[in-house]
Formats: sequence, structure tokens, C-alpha cells
Amino acid sequence: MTKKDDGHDMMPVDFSDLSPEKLHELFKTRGLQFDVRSRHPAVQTILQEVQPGDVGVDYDKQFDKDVKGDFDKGFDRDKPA
Amino acid sequence: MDRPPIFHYTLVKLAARCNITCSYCYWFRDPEVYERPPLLTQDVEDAFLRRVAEHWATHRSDSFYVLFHGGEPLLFGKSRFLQFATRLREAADRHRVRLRLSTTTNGLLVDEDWARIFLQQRVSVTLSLDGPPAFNDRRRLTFAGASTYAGVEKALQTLRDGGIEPGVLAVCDPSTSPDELVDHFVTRLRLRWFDVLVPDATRDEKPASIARYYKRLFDIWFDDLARQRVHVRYVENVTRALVGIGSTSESLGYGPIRTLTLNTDGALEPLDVLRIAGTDRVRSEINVRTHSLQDAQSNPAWRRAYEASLQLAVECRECRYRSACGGGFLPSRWSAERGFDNPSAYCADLQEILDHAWSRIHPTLAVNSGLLHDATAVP
Repeated sequence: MTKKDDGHDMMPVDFSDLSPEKLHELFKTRGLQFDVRSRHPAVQTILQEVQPGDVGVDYDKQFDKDVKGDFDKGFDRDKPA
Repeated sequence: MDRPPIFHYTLVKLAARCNITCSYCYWFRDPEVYERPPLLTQDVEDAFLRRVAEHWATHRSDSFYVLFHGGEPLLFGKSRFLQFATRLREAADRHRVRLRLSTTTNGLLVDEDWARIFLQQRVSVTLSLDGPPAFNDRRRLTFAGASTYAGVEKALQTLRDGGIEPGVLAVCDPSTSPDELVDHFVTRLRLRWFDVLVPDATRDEKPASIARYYKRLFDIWFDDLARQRVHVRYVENVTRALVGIGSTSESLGYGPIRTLTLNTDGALEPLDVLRIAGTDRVRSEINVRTHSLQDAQSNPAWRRAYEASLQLAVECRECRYRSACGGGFLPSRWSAERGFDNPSAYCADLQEILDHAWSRIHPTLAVNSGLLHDATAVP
């Protein structure tokens, strides 16, 4: 068992029985993502991209985030020239 | 369409021609592109500026993204590029729109002047390069059959000298080693951002398997590159998609395709890569000279692509990776027999890649104990 920053318990979970599709459903219905953490730093960074209040994926918001968030990155769509 | 999207993004074809010949290029797989003006015409540029300003005012846009693309976009020429970018920036300032400009180039025309223009106009740059010379020169050659590698390497240095750090796009060659590609990109070229793209293919083709390549690429990123803060977009998007954040790529994850393409003759078309499925998939009577940007959504080809991106084939709807994969890249779902009503040409590979990535990711996850019961109780 590990501790969250706020002191609540974090339990390792056997997500192999919980498919990504069921995880997606949980995210959509319960906003669970804020309480999922990863020991892998890059996965954790990705999990932190979701802001409190987000439930599921709002594609307008997602696109807006992509546009605004990537202004300083020299990296674009996925087709070569 | 229940809620037509407001465009935030236009892919602008500055050139319908290229100065090199890549064996896999989706654009020139459709010979119809040779019937278009070689470069974006001046009157189309003027019309686009009018229309995009009108779009920003009508829809109260606060941000917008223009990607200069081709063919090879730098064939457009420095003076016209500078003029176009300047006019776009001035219009965006008037409308208080935050404008992102970027370009994807093969790099062969890049020199100090181009680097200055990119820096001055804050144009982010992505170079196309398929890895070390032995990999790159299998498929990315000049019309005379010469290597393009040295030119791209020089472009990378010229851009860096000019204060620009570009991203790099490679196209996957599954017969090559991802370890060698990564070593070249990270150790020799010191890249911090790159992507390895899935080769374009429809269902009517039989593309080589990519599963082994991407599983290894995922492991390299997961075990090594991520800790060095080197970004590999495809595998990061696999991760995003699996943990429910949503991929930021148009090639993976469930979500609408909303790309608007401005062709050199002013035609407002859907996603340009759909040309691999035939000209009819992008054919458009909607032209920026006579129509608003939003009018592109009345084009049947645009609407079909948008709706198909949201209506998955029955096999996909029942798949354990329905959301994470979303049927993959829309052009890869096309077959002459069933249109877009197919899983991806890479369906088996995508399942294998996602299975592998999930097997690496899920043991690292932990959840708030208070939610544990709820999570495992889901049927």
C-alpha cells in the first residue's frame, strides 16, 4: 500500500481483470481518473493531464487543449512531407 | 451530425507538388493531385484570409491552428510564405485569436533565411526523416534516386543554429530495427520529440505486420526514453488511450475526424490522407472563394468521413479496445466493398500492440482504496 499526497491510501489494483474499456466506462461515469496513479513517471505524467472536473473525454476541450497546450512544441500532425 | 463542430484547424496545402519522391507518399498515390495548381494561388490565399477572419468573428474563436503542408510546403517560396504568415498573424491579432502556425517539411530547402522566417513568424517545424541513412534512403529519395539524408541532417542543424528545435516524423518500416532508429535519433541527432507513423494502407491492401515493431518501440520508450524525457508520440498516445485520457492523434483512439484541408485551388476538403481510398473520398465542390469554412461540412465526402469516424464497425463496437483504438486511422478502415464499415487494416496488429502496452502499464497502476470496491464491482 502506498500513500497519496493527501494521506489517503492508494491500493495496487489488478487491472488485468479490469479491461481498459471498463476503465474508460469508470472514468466516464465516476470521474475515477483522479484517483488512479502510476508508479511509472511518464504514465503518471499522462494521468495528471486530466484536470479535476473532467469526466470522460470532451473532444472540444481535448482539441482546445491540444492547440493551446502545444504552442511551444515543434511537433505536429502525424503525416510526413 | 448532432453537434457540428466549429473548425479550429486548417491543413493548408501550400504546394501540391514535391521536390523528392517517397515510395509510400499518400498524396501522390492519387494522380488527381497533379490536376491542381502546383502552388496555392494568390486569390485562394486572399480568399482564405477573408474567410478565416470571418470564421473567427462569427464563432468568436479564441485560438486557431494552421498547418502549412504539401507536397513540399517550402516550394511555396520564402517571400510568399512570409507574406502569408504575416497576414495571418496580423488578422489573428485584430481578432484577438491565439494563432498557432506550423509546417511539416522534408527539409531539403531549409536554409538560414527560412530559419529566420520560421523564428520571426513563430512557425513550429517538423522534419520528415525515416532514421539513419540506411533506413531513410530506402524510401525517401530525390527524383534522380539520390539520398536525402544529408540534406535533412543539414536542415536540422540549420534550424537549431537559428534557434528552432524541430520535431521529427518517421514512417515505420517494420523490416527495420526500432532500436537502431531510436539510437540514431536520440544518441546521434539528440532529438527530444519524434514519432514513428503507421504506414498508410486501406483494407484492400495487405500491409506488413507492424505489431512486433511497435511493441519493441513501446518497451524502449517505457523502459528508457520516458525517463530521459524523450517523447515518442505514437507510444505516448497508446498510453493515453489505454488509461482513458484520450489520444491526441488522429490515427488512434475513438473520436471525430474534423480535419479541414484547403487545397491549392481553394477546394475545402476532408482529411487529405483519405486520398489513399480514392479521389471520391475527398471530392469537394465547396471552395473557399465562394463558401465559408463551416460550409465544408455540407460536403458529402467531409460528412461521410466525420460520421464514419464516430460509427465504428460492429467488430470494433464489441472490442475490448473500442475507445482506446477507435478503429485506428480512418483511411485504414476503407474497402471498396464496405466503405468505412470495417475494422482497421491493422486491426490484429493494433490489438497485439494494445495488449502488450496494457500488460506493461496496468501493473504500475494504483487506485484510491475508497474506490477499490466500486472499480472491481463493475460487471
